Amino acid sequence: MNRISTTSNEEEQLLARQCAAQERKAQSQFYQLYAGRLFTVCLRFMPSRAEAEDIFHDGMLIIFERLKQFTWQGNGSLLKWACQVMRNECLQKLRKTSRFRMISLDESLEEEGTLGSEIEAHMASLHDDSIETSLVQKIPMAKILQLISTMPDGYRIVLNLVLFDGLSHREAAKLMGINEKSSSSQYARAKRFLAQKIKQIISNEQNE
Amino acid sequence: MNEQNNPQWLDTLRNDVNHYESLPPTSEWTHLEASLDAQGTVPKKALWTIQSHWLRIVGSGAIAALLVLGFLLIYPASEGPAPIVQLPTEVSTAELIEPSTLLLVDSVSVNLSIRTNTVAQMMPSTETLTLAPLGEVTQITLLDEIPFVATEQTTIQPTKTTQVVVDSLLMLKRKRQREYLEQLEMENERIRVYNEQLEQSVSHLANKRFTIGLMADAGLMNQSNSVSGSTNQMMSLAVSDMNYESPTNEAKGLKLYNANNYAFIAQPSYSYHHKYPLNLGLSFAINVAPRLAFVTGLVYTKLSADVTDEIDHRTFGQTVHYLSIPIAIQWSLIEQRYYNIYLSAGTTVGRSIDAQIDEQSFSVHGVQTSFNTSLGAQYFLLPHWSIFTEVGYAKFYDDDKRIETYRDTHSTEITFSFGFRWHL
Repeated sequence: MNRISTTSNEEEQLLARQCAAQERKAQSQFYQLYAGRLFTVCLRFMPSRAEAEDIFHDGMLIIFERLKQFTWQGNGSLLKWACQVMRNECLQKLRKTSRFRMISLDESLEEEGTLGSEIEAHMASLHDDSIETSLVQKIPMAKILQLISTMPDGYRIVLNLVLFDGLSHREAAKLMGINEKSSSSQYARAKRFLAQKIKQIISNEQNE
Repeated sequence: MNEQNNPQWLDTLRNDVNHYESLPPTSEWTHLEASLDAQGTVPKKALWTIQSHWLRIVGSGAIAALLVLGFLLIYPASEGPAPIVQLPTEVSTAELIEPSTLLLVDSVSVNLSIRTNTVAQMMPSTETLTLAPLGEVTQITLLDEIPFVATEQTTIQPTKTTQVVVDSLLMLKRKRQREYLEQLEMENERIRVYNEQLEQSVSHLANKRFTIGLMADAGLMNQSNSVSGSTNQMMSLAVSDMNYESPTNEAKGLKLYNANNYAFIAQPSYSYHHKYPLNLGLSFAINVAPRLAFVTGLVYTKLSADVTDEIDHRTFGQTVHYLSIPIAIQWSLIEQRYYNIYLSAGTTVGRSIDAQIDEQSFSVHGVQTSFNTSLGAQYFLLPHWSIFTEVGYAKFYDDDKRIETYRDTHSTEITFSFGFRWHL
C-alpha cells in the first residue's frame, strides 16, 4: 500500500511547515506517512536490523530538527529530502565505524593485480547475472532486504547508492571517498554477488 | 539519474525496493516522542540551564584569572643585564644634564670666583645673580641643575645690604652643593653599574660606546673651557681654585658621559629589519551559554629582527620569545550541527620568556597586551575537537620601550590563523 501518493501538494507543504514549527501532531502524521520508506533506507544501508533501528531513531530526530531548512520543490520532494537526510546519516554512521575500509581493501587488491582481467572474465562467465524477473518478484521483499544487508559493506554501499538511490558513479565515489573506476568495478561485482545469492534462494525454493 | 545497463530483473528489484515500506519497531514512535519532548521541554530545563550557564561563566572567569595570575607569577621579569642599546630605565632623561647646561656650570663657577670691585645682588624670587664689574652689568640666570662650587673664595666688597645678600647666597650655594654632590654620587654609582653591565654584555660594542663617550667628553670639555675663557675675558675676572675640584671633575666627567649617552639615544644608531612574527598556540573553548563560548589557550610568539649598527654597518640578530594567554568571548552567528561561524573579541596578556641580542641574553621587562577581534569558522571533526580558521584585527600595547620589536613598528595588525580547538 502506498500511503504517500495520497498526499497532495498543499498537504505536503503544510505538513512540512507544521513539522518545522515542532507541532507534535504534524510530526506524528509525518511519521505515519514516511517512517516505512525511511526505515527501508536504513535497512538496506546498515548491516543489521539493530543498527538500522538505532540510525532510524537518530535520523528521525535530525529530520525533525532540520525541517525548518527544507524548501519544497514539487510533489514528493519532502520524502526525497527526508530519504537523503537519512541516507547521509547512515553513511556518516558507517564512516564512523570505519566500514568504508572494506572498500579500500578491495581497491588495494585491485591495484595489486590479484584480480586480473582474465580472472574477472572467468568469474563473470561463472556468475551470469541474468535471472528471470518473475522469479525475483516472488521472493519476499523482507528477504531481499535481508540479503542486501548481508552483502560485504563495500558492495552494499555502492549498490545502494548507484542502483537504489540512482547516483552516478562519480557521485557515489565522492561520497565513499574512492575513485570513480573503483566504484564502477565494485558495483559490477555487487550485482554479480546479488544475482548469485538470489539464484541460490530461487534454487532452494524450487528444491523445496 | 543513473545510466546503468542493468538487467530487467534488477530494474524491477530497484523499483520494488524503492517503494517498499518496512515497518519500524512498534514502540519507535513512543521513543521518538520521548526524545522530542526531551529536546523541546524548555520549562523543565530552564532553571538548570541558567544555573549551568552562570556556573560556567563564573568558572571560566576563575580559570582565566588563575591562568593570568599563575602566568605572571611563574614568569616574573628576570634580573639579567639590560639591553645594550638603551640606558637602564632607572636613569630617566629628566635626570640627565644636557651639554648646554654643563657649559653653564663652568661659566657660573667662573663667575662666582669674583675677587674685587663687584657688586652682587640676588633676586630671591627669580634666583638671578647680577654682577656689575666696574659699571658693566651682566646677568646670568641660575638654573636648578647648576651646582655651586668654590664659593669660599668669593670676595665681594661688602656693604650692609650686599653682605646679607651674599650670606644668603652662600648658604644657598652650600645647600645646593651638598644636594648636587649627593646626586652625583648616586648617579656615579648607577653609571658604574651600568658600565659594568655594558662591559659584561657586549664587550666590543661597550668599548665602542666608551670610545665615543670619551671623544664627546673631550669635545665638551674643550668647549666648556673656551666658554669659560671668554667669560673671564669679558668680565675681567680670574678663575679661582676649586675646593671640590676632584669630585666635581669626576662628576662632570660622568655627567658628560651621561649627556653623551643621552645624545646617543636621541640619534639612534641602529636600523631594524623586522621579520613576520611566528605564533604557535593551543586553543580551548568552554561553552558558557547557547551560542556563547569562552575561549582561552596558550600562545608562543617569536619576534625576530636583523639589527644593523649604522656606525660600523655590522648586522646582528635580535630575537624575543613571548608566551601569552588569550582570553576571548566567542559569539556564534551561524550555528549548524557540524560547523559554526562566529565573532570573537578579547585580550591577550603576554610576557617575554627569553630574548637575545647578538647571541647575548637579556631580559625584557613588562607585560605585552593586545586587544583582539576576529571573524572565524570552525568545523567539528570529532565530538570535542574542531578545526578553525580566523581573520582578525589586533592592537598591541608594549610597555617595554627599551628595545624595538615588530610590535612597536606594527602596533596594529590583521591576523590570519588556523588550527585545532578543544571544546569542553
